[in-house]
Amino acid sequence: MAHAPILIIVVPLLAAFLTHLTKYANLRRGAEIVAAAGIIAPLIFLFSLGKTVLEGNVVKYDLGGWPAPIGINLAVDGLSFFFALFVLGVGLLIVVYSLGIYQYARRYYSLLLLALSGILGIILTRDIFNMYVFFEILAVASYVLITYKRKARAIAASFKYLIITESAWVLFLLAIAILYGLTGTLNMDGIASQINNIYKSNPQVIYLVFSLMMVAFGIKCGMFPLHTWIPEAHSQAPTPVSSLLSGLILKVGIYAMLRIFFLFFGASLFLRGAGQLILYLGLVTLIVGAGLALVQDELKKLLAYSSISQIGYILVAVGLGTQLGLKGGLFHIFNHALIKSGLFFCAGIIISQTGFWKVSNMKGVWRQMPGVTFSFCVLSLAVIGIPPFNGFVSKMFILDATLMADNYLAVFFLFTGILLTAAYYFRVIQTFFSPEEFQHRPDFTPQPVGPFEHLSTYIFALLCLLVGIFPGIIVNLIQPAIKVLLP
Amino acid sequence: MMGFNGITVGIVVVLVGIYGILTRRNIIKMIMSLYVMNSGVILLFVSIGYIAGGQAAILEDSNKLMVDPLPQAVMLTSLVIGLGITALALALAIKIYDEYRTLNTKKLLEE
Repeated sequence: MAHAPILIIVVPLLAAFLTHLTKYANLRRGAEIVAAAGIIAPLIFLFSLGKTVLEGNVVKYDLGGWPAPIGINLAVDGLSFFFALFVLGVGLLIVVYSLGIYQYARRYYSLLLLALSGILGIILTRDIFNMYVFFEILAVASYVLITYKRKARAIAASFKYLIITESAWVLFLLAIAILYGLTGTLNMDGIASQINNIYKSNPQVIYLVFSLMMVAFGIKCGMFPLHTWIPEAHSQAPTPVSSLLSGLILKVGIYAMLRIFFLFFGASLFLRGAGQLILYLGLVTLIVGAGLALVQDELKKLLAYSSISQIGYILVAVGLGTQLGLKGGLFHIFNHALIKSGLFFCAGIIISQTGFWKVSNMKGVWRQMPGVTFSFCVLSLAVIGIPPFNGFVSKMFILDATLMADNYLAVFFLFTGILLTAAYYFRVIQTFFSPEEFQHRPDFTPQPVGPFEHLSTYIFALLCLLVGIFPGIIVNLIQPAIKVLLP
Repeated sequence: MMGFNGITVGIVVVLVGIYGILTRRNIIKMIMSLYVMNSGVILLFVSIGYIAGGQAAILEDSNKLMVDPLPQAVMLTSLVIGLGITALALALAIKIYDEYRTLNTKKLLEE
């Protein structure tokens, strides 16, 4: 398996084009089979590297045999292994959901695989320009995925997302240009080795690069003043795409932040208050997201604002930058990917069965679909952070880390955030279990929902419970990742 | 003239693009501003590798004064990406006009 790192990226990319060719094969549901194979194969390649990586080694791969400063190189270390693992896992469950009664076209699977290939590329690459290219691949695939059902509002949402995200990437490219001008290399390790000397002679330019990247990744992960694209894009996209956006694409912004900030600015800026900046922006993000979710009546928009709020928790943990803080942050990234993907699936099923978008119309839904309502309850308890579900463990790590750092203001806001989260999720659950009889929309025929959709929500709910009871498995995966960030 | 080179012009063009994207409310003008921003960065990046009087980096005589080939190669990729994004954005603009009969983002938000 000497070529495993590149195969992890290339197999989904090839499968993306193969899905179109299944038109000519005499195969029932060929595109779905190719899509599932295109995700399972990289998982196998990833597992083949698992033992080496979890022992703390780094698997390096030079593209085309060109060594580091000339060619692009890929590396699988603890951090990228952890991210790649949950990206592929959630990606597989998104395909399981898409298998259902509503048949998605070949084009949909093709774009989904393209997006996953972009995410895996971002995670594995060690060349900063290559990272930009993969970000663009991911972005283009996601713009088109949002407009998949060709609704007018979805197209407008996609356009808003396009303009905001593309400005972010132009700023990122500007940062790359400045870094290249200063160091003469695009290799991340090469830049990182020179950045301390540059900081000593000219700190302003490092502040500039940091701010440009902060804005770019902040837009991608939905940090407070830059979160405006999230609610529209998340709520207008088709259900599996909402899960992809919230579960994986937001996390990619956090990944880039972790990778680049800790590698480049770990020694120079993080010790001088850059971490504090991320921490306080995270606190604002979590309170604003929770507050907006509290007043939101549209179910999918409520979930989107809830995503923003949970990203706030992760940013607080990243900003702390301590061993325990990063443990909580990485754990919460994993948990949020599971929980929010599951919640969007539940919301999608409920909306396609009832035809209502607003929570206030969903009174007494549990009599119509007890299974999905039950999953929704489990997942929302998990996101609030109630034991024995997984959200409890990660939020406890984050709270513990802020207490250790003696930041009592942050502790206060984290607790307030948990209470607000409980407030808006309990409101939804209360409406679902309302004693009133469910009122059907007269002009609406429910779209049939098959076993695959239900199955995927149950899997997510079960995973949340299992991870909550046995958090040790995930913590063992996180330890090598923390070793990469804090050597 | 002091400092009048590709890097300064590039930064000015980027700033013009940012100004455009923040103030224009017409979808087509926003797409144009986006592309202007992108072009500014491309000009800046290529200028970083530029040496006055340098030649193309073909290694036959190592004494020649050569420009840095990497920014040019990298920016070729970026140009193609910019083209693709602009094409997609214009396609979305056509769809938006078909659906809403307006290209003004303020009117779009009212719906």
